[in-house]
Amino acid sequence: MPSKGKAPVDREVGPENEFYFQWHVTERCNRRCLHCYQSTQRTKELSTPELGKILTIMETALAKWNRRGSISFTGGEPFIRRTELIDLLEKVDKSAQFDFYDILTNGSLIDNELLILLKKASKLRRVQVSLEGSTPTTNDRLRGHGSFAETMKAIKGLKQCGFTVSVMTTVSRLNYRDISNILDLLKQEGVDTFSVERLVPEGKGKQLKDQLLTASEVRDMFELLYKLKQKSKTPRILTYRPLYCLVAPDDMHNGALCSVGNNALTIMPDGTVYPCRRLPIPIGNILEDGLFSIWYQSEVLWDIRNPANLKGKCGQCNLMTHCRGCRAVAYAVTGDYLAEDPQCWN
Amino acid sequence: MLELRPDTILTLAPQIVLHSIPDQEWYFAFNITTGDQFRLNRTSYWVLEQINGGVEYSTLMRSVLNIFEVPENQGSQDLKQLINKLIRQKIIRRQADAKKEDTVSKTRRRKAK
Repeated sequence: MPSKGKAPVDREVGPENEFYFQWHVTERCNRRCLHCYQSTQRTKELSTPELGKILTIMETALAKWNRRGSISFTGGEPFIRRTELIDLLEKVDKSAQFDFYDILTNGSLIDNELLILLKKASKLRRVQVSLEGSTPTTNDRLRGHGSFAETMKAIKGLKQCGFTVSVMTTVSRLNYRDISNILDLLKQEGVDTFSVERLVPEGKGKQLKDQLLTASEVRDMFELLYKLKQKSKTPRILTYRPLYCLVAPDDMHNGALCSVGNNALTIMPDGTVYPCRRLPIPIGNILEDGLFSIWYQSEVLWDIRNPANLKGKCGQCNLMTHCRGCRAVAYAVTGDYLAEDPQCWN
Repeated sequence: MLELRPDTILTLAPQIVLHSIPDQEWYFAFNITTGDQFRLNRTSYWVLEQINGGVEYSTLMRSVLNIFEVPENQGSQDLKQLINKLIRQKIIRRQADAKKEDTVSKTRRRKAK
């Protein structure tokens, strides 16, 4: 018999009671990073009222699903739309459905005026800046000349103003040997959290396909990060990503299922919805289709939700309840988002 | 109890979509407009699959009795209860009701213009 629960899917389709949006307010960027998952910077951008409408759609869905929301605002470089972004932050600050948001930025446009504005953002949890190396040589090769200095300046400015700062590094063969040095540098700067994302050769990043780490290289790096995590309190190393659980299967605070199809969506500057920014398959437009229609009807999401669909070693893995691999890496490398994670060493 | 005649045609409500992952025992009906979600058991889901696209009540009843080994009286009573619950929850509707609802909404739309 059917039972109309407040949110039966909370426990059945997705974990507990959270929902995460990655919201790209622009694709414009003042950097031309070699590994960028964008291939264009010309996507249509929405007006302030349209952005407000999206927020209302999100709030309605969260209320219906009885879930608490969080957002990562990003781009492109999100501070290129500083006025619109600050307006949006003010709206989220007043929203009853959202607990916090992060801003993911390259840090280059952070100045004193912006820092003062951000101090008023009451639900800002942390500002995440991207850094690809511990020296200008390693970093600037990927992110462009002068970017290391700008990023370090941004980190210092944010820390001086009391913000929680996170650093994320996209790892490939061009920088993975530098991880320990990056962590030493971040420790000196008082950075709060550190995470790595595996390079997904999408968009401009396709040109770096040869720089993808092999499975054994990923294993060595994740083992190192797990070891450093035990020693390092600051920065706190975040390891809630697929494959980490292979390093320490019994550690419940290590590794996580990919959130695609479970409790996350990506909103693009024109309202297009992706399962994940690194899995750039359009599954609808939030303004035209609404969230319910996309979340309940997308075949891509339903394919991914059903673990029986996973292929190769992901489909036979004894850690399937903890991992399932990264669907975006599988898609970028093989063209099949249900293929096994090509960087898994299990 | 709503009246269910043998020739009553049942259909899925227009905003309802069905999804299942049988290996996980997940059976759901979703309303893509309101966002309502309904967790179902396998039998209810099977009944909704039969109704999807439209089916006469008598045909549905025969299918139920053929598939599930239950006495006719018991099967008939259980199906009636289930159908009534699904109608109350706006997951399915009687075609006659659907026509009335569509006429009402058309009239409302005309008046609004």
